[in-house]
Amino acid sequence: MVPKHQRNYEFRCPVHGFITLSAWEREIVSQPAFQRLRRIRQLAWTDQVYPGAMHTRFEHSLGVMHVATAMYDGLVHSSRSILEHDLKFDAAGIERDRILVRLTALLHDVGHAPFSHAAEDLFPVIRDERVHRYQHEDYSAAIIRQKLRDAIEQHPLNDNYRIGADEIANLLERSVAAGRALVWGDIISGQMDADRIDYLLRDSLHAGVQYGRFDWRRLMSCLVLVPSVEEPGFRLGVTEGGLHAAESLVLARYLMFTQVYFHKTRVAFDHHLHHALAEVLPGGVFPPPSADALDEFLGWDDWRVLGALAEGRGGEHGRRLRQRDHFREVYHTPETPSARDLARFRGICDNLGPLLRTVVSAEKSWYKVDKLEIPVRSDNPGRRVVSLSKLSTVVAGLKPIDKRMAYCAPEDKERALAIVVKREGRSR
Amino acid sequence: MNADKQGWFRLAVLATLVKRAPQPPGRTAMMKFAYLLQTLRGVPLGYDFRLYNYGPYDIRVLNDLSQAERFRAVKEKTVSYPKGDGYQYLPKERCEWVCAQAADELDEFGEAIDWLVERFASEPAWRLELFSTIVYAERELRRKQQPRSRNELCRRVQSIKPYFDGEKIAAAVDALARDGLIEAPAD
Repeated sequence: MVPKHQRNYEFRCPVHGFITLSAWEREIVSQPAFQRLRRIRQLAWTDQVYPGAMHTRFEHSLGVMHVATAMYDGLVHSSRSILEHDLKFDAAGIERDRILVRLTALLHDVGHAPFSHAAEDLFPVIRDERVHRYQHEDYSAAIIRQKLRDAIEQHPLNDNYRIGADEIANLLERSVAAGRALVWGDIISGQMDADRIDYLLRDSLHAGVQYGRFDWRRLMSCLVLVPSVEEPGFRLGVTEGGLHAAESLVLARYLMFTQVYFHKTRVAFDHHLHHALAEVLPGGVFPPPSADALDEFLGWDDWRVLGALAEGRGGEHGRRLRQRDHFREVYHTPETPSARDLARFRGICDNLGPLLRTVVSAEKSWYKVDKLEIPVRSDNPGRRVVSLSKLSTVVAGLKPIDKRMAYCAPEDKERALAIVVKREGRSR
Repeated sequence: MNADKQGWFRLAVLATLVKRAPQPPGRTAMMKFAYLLQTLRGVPLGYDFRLYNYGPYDIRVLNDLSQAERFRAVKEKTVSYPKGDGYQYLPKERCEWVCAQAADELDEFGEAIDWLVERFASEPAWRLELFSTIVYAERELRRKQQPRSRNELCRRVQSIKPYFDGEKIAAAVDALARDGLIEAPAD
């Protein structure tokens, strides 16, 4: 009989079927800091537009581990000689880093705030070399080091690997201490990472749309480390056979952004949530990811916020969330506005005056559609590397989305629209 | 600086760098120029660079270059390298117009931009990647109050880039230390 600590456990996943975890990984998943992800919805209040989008960071985290493993195995299969000769891996190193990548993928989102990205502007400001806010990766790294260390380091299955909590946190934080393992960084967070592959498929399924679907299994079998073109080194790319699978990933991301993530009503709910939470949180911000404040941060999840809102807290925005009385979009630019479009938008915002309640910009959205440059290795002799956007006319035609939307309160909508119509008539 | 202003400022800085570089910069060069300018001279570009095995990187630099191209401030040209196709950037007819959108800010940080062009714009891409990785490593070790002697820095960078020649890494560390851009005392 297999000893308990060596058993594997299968979790049902609506996207990937069965996801297999070792007893070690299951022990980590069983920790309260990870179980909290069951109480954090992946897409915040998106269910107000797409009622099925009620899934959580918990199932996404398992999915990312599953995809990251497939990516890792695909890369090792296609690029073993680069790993061994250029990056100095041996068989034991490759086996060990497979677990490091799995655990990093599993834990990459453990530091999310309630309602995921919608609340991230309420992370406290940090002043080091520049003034910026903490990010959820900072919380994830702190939780791995301070709350999950024992579960990671003390499990009997770790006896052969000696993987430390710090190693996982270092890879997640992109610390120099991660050393050679940074070559896996593109799997964890990059242009074509496991996170993005899983969330597009998963969000699409739960939202009930087809936009996020693409042939991800084909992509896995075409992954390869390609040489950087301008300098020594290697990047995650695809073989020419994977060109259209990569193309479909780019399109899936574009369509999911325009149809789901940047839906005009969905982002209005993000706005209300942000302001309601600012009223609910002591001092208007989350506690920092420091040793003395981490328990307090972990005490915040969707349930607690919803409880506060149900008690009548959250001010005007809490009321709007409770009553689905959200702000209404009254004007927007094209998805890729020209300088003239932007000037017109600014003019309309000025004309709206106090009726303008908020402006939402695609560039500021967490899910924004970045320029995506996937290197493709030619199948021709010489195996030259060419960017996907040079090979795909579809991808070449996609421009970064910089759409802006102006909102007013529902009670002011008629007056605001009259102002917009008047201004538009004048500019024509 | 509000978000709109900062967006124009970033485009203006990138367009200025393209215009002033002695030879058309490639993608690696533009990425590393932005990193070095923000990190070593504190120019508030608002990028969030993270370390990859190919050095500090923020995809928003490429987004901004794409935006600058759309506004016809720069032009992306395909160039053939031995390992494949890459890109170089050239100024285009609306370069001055984009720069004029953030004229005051460009003026305020003009000295820093002059310095970057003077010190780094003639460096090849591989050396810019090395410099920026070393700066990233030194800043992180300093922030975490960890040892950052010359040998330690060389060891850290070599561990990230085992395919780089050790002597080239040491020479790059020495060059940055000599210019006072990093602190890397001898062991």
